[in-house]
Amino acid sequence: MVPRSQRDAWREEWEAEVWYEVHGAAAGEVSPVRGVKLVLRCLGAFPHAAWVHADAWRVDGVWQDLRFGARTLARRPGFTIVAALTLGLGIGGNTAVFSVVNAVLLRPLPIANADRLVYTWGRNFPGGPAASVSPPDYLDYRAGTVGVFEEFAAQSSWTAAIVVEANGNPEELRGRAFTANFLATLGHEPAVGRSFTPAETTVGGPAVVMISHGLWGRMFGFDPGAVGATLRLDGEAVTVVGVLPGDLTYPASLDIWFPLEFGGPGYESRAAHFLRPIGLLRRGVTVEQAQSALDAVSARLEAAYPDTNDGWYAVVQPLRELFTASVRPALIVLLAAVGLVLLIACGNVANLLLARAAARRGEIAVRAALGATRLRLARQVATESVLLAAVGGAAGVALAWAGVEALRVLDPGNLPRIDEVGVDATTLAFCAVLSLGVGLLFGMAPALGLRRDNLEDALGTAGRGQSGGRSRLVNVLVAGEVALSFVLLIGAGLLFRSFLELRSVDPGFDVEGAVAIPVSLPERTWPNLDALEAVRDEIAERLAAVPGVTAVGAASILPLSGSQGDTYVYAEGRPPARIQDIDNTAQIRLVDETYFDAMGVPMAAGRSFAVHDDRSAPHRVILNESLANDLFPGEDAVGKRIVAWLDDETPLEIVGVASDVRQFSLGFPAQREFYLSARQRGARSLSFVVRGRDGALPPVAALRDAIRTADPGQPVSRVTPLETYIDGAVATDRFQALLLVLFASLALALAAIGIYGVLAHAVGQRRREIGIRLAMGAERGSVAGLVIRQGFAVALVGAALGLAGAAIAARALRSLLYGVGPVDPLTWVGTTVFVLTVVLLSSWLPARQAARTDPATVLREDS
Amino acid sequence: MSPRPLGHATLAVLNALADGHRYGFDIIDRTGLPSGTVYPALGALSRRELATSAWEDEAKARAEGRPRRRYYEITREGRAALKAARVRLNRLGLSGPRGVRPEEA
Repeated sequence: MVPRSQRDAWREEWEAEVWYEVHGAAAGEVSPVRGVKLVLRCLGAFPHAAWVHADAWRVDGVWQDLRFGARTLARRPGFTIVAALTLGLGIGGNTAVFSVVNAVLLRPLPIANADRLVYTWGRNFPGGPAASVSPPDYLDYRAGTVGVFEEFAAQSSWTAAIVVEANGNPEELRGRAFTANFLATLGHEPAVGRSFTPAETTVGGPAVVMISHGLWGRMFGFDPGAVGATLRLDGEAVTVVGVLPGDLTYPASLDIWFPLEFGGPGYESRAAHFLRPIGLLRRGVTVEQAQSALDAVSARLEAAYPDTNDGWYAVVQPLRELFTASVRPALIVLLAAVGLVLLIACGNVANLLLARAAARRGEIAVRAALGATRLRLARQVATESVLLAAVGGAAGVALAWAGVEALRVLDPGNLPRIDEVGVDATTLAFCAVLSLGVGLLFGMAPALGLRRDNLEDALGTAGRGQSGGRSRLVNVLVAGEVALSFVLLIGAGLLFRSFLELRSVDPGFDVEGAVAIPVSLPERTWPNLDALEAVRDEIAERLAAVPGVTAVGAASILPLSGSQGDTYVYAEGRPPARIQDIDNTAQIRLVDETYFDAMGVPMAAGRSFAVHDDRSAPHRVILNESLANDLFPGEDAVGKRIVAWLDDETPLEIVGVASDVRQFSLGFPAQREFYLSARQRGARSLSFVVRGRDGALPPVAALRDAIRTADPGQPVSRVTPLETYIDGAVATDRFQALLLVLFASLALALAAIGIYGVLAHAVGQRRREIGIRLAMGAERGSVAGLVIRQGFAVALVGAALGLAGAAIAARALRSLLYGVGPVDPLTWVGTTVFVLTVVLLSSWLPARQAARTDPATVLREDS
Repeated sequence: MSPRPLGHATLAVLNALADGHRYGFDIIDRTGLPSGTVYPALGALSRRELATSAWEDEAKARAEGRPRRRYYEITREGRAALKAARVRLNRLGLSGPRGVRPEEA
C-alpha cells in the first residue's frame, strides 16, 4: 500500500518506535496492560500507511503534472495533432452513435405513463404473427383485468385517409379511431376541450373528433374557438371536441382522432380482429402479472366461444420495447462497431506514445535520477495521456456534431424519435467519461513500459536502441488492431452483401418508370355506386390519356406499403378442421382490370379481371400463386371456387392466378393473397399506378391535372415513384451496411497507419543494422523483404485472431442478414485478401526506405 | 497553496513538537491522540513544511546497538502557524486541544 519509495522509511520508523518501547527506559516493568497498549498503538501503522499512499496522489502535484503535460504536448504540435485527431475520430464516432442510442433506446419516451404502458397483441399460436383483438374480446379483456390495469384503452389497427375541405381546398388527413380513455391512459390531457365520452364511442353517438395540435395550428391558428367548430371530413359534418396536446408524439403522424363505434357493424364479431389495446399497469403490478390476468380471460373466452376464440390469446409487450425492438439490434451492432474503431484508435495512439516514450527515455531517466519516484513518473505519463484524450475528446465533440447531422440524413425512416437525436448534456457526459477512460487505457502502455525499464540503465543509453519489451508491446498492439479491423471488415462485408442481396430481390412487379397516386372516393361524396364507378373510370381514362403514359391500374393497397387486412379462406367443399387458425388466412386486395398489366405482374394462369366482372356478375376472385398452390396443390385453380369470410360467405369463382408479389418487405417471402374486383366491390380508397413510356416516369404535373379535371374535390397530395417503395424497404439495411462499411474502412485505415508507423520506426531503429547488411553485400530486395516480412508476421497473427473474433461477431449478426450466411466464403476470402493487401501496401513505404538506405552514410553516422 | 487552517489534531501535534517532543510515540503519549492520527498529522505537517523530520545518524545508533529513530522538529513556519492558531483560538473564545493555550495577539 505504501509507495515503494517511502516503504523503507515507513517500516523503519515503526520498527524503531516499537524497539524503543520494548527496550526503552521503562523496559523493566513488563505488564499485560503495557503489552496491549503497544499492540493497539501499532495498529496506527495502517492508517499511517493509508495516508502516505493517499498523499502521493495529492492535488497540487496533479496540477503541476497538468501544466507540465500541457507544455510537453504543445512542444510537439505534430505528434499532438495526429494523436488528438486519431482519438477524435474514435471518440467522435462513438459519441455520434451514442447520441442516437441515447435518444432512441435510453431516454424516456415522451409519454407521461410510458413506464407503465403495455401494448396488447392478439395471437393465435406461440411465435405466430402479432394480430389485433376483436372488439368483443377487447371489452371482455378490459372487464377481466381491472385488477392489474388502471386503464385499458384501444385504437383501431387501420389508419384512414380522410379528405377535409379547408378554405375551399381539399386536404388529405390521416385519422384513427380510439376509445374514450386513450389519451388519459397515456397520461395526457387535451390541450383544449375534452376527450371523447363513452356515449360518443358507441354507435349512433354524436359525430365528433379530436384534432392534432399541428392541425389546430394549420386550420385554426391555435384559436381555442376550434373546440365546437365543425369540420367537413369526407363530406360529413363533425364537431371538434378537443385538441391533442402538442408534446404528444404517440401515436405518430395522425391529424384526426375518431371515436370507435362500439355496437356498430363489424363490432360484434369475435373473428374481426382490428383493435390494438394498450393497458396502463396499476402501480406495483408487473408485466408478468398482467400477462397472467389476460391469460385467465383468454382461457375463459376460448371455452365460451370455441368457434372464434379457439387458440387465441393476448400477449403484452411493454411500450418501450414496441418502440425499440425493430432497431435495437442494428444500433447495438453500430455501437459495437464504433467501439472497435475507438479501440484501434487507442492502439495507434498508444503506439505513438510508446515511440515517444522511447525517445524520452533520457529525459525520464534524468528525472528519476533527480529523485522522482516511479509512481510519480507514471502519474506524469498518465496525466499527459488523459490531457491528450481530452484534446481528442474536444475534437470528438465537433466530429460528433457533424456525425449526428450525417446520421439524420441517412435516417432509414424507421428510427423512432430521430428528430430528438442531438448532442446534449448526456452525450457530452458520455464523451467526457469516454475520453477519460480512453486516456487512462492507452496511457497505461507507456506507464507499464516505465516499470519495465531499468531507469538508471536508461540514463547511460539514452536515445539509442530500444528495449525488447517495447517492441513486443508494439507488435501486440498492432496485431490487435489488425484483428479488430478484420472483425469489422467481415461484419461490414456480410451486411453489405446482405444489402445487395436484398436490393436485387425481385419484388414481383416492375419497379421502374411508374408512380403511385392515392385517390380517396368517400361514401359521403359519392354515395351512389354508379357515380363512384363513373368517376373512377374517368380518373383512369384521363390518366391514361396523358401523353407519355402507357398503362394505368389501381389497387386498394400497393405492395410494400402495408396490409389491407386478411381473412379466412378455404377451397369450396374442403373446410379445414380449425378455420380460425392463422394458417388459414390470406391477405385481401382490391384491384381493377388493368392493375396487373400496369404493375407488370404476370398472370400465371387464367385471366385478369374484366369490365364485365361488375356488381351484376357472380363474385370472382384472383389468387396469388402461393394461395393457389396451398388450396389446390397440383391442380388447376382456374374455374374452381373458394370460400372466404368477407361480408358473407358466398363462394368466389377463381378467374385467374397472378404470380407472387412481395407484400410486406423484400426479405419476407410472398404470403397467401387473393384479389377481388374493385368494380365488383365498390372500392373507395385506391392507389393508381401510372406507368410511363420506356422506363421513364410519367409527367407528374399532367397527372395531377388529369385527376383534378376528373374530380375537382380530390386532393392529389402524394405522387410517389414505385422505386421509393423499394428504397423504403431496404433503408434500414442500407443504413446498417453503409455505416458499418464506413467504420470498417476507418478501422482498416487506422490499422494501416499503425503498421506503417511501427515499421517505419523499426526501420529507423535498425538503420545501422541495415546499413551493415547492405555493406556486406545484401541485396536491396532482400532488405525490403525483411521489413515486409516483419509487417506480415504481425498481420498474420492479427488476422488469425481476427478470424476467431469475426466468427463470433458473424454469428451475432445472423439475425440482420438476408440471403447470406455468416460463413459467406466470398466475404471471408475477400476480406482476408484485402487485409493482407493493405498490410503489404503499408509495409511498402518503410521497406522501400530500408532498401534505399545508403550504407556509407549510416555507418559514418554513429562512429 | 493558500494556507488552510490547521485541524484540531494537527494543531495538538504541532503544539507537542513546539514543546520539544520529538518522535512519534512520545507525541502520542503527550497528546493522548491515537497513533493512527498522529502519524498522518506528522506527515501533513512535513508536507506543509511546518515541521521537518530527520533520521538519527545510522552509525551512531548502530554503535549503541539500537535502531535509528526518526526525529521531528517544528520549523519557523510551524511556530508562526502555531502562534496564529493560538491567536485565532483566543479571538474565538475557544479552548484549544489538549495542551494548546489560547494566546493574546
